[in-house]
Amino acid sequence: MPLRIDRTKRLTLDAFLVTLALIFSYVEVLLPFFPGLPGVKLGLANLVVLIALYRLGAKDAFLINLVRILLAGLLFAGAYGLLYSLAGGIFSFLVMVVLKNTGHFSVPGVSMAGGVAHNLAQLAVAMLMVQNVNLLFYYPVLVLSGIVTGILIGIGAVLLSKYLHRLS
Amino acid sequence: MQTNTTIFKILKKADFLLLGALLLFAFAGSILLARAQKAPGETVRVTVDGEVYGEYPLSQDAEIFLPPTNDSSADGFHGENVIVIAGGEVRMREADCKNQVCVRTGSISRPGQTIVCLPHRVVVTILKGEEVLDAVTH
Ligand SMILES: [Zn+2]
Repeated sequence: MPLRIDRTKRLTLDAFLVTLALIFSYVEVLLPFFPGLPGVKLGLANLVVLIALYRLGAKDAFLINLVRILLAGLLFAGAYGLLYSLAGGIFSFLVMVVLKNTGHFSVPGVSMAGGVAHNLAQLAVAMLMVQNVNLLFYYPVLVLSGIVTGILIGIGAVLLSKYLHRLS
Repeated sequence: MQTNTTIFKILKKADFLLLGALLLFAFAGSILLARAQKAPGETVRVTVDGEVYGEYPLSQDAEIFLPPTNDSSADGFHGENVIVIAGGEVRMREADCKNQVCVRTGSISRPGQTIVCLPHRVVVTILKGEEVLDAVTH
């Protein structure tokens, strides 16, 4: 359920979540989750997006996600990486919103679908950018890693959300 | 422990159905790909910006140096990459790209396997002798 809070408090919360997501993005730049496998990351920033999606609703979550991707892209990745993370971030967000709205999935389930969608969108962009179909060979690995990281992030979001609730 | 039980309680039937479908999707794909990769690779193809830079026999040890270029096209700057063919395997030994994904990919030796340096738009693919999946693109 989205929280009923006034506008100033909402903006403060949005800014706080963007900052948190940026910190997570930076942590991931420093510590790759599965070194050696291209494009496989834990997606810690998605933790924040999930919490925003369930606590503040799709509109705020989308804005937080977009600002997070643009800032992280400018700070840590550069133009090519920005395109790559925009594709992953927006596609996985759309998938998560659709699944959440069906009401049939739990937070870890929604996050799992988001993780897989994120990886597959990035694979598609990579295939377009380097114009090579052979990248398809990575897709089973990317689906599996999306499942694992998505579920972990979803469980993390449930726990973190409970903790944040206790704070406020 | 109490939090663990609540997490298991919140998982729904649709979660498990989706998980099963995704696992099947990955599994079916890996079987198809494993079949395509059975034959030993023969040729190493290096492409830059989607264009073939060179093809090299996998059986012959070699070092391929892709020098940095600085063209004025929209694609801009490509950095430096060093590809090494040794003992029937190929790896990206060095690259001055930001993410180092290509270097961490390690060695490849089977047809269809690929090393990508996305920032530099460099792709190293192993071919069976003729094209593997290229028929799809042309
Ligand atoms: Zn690279």
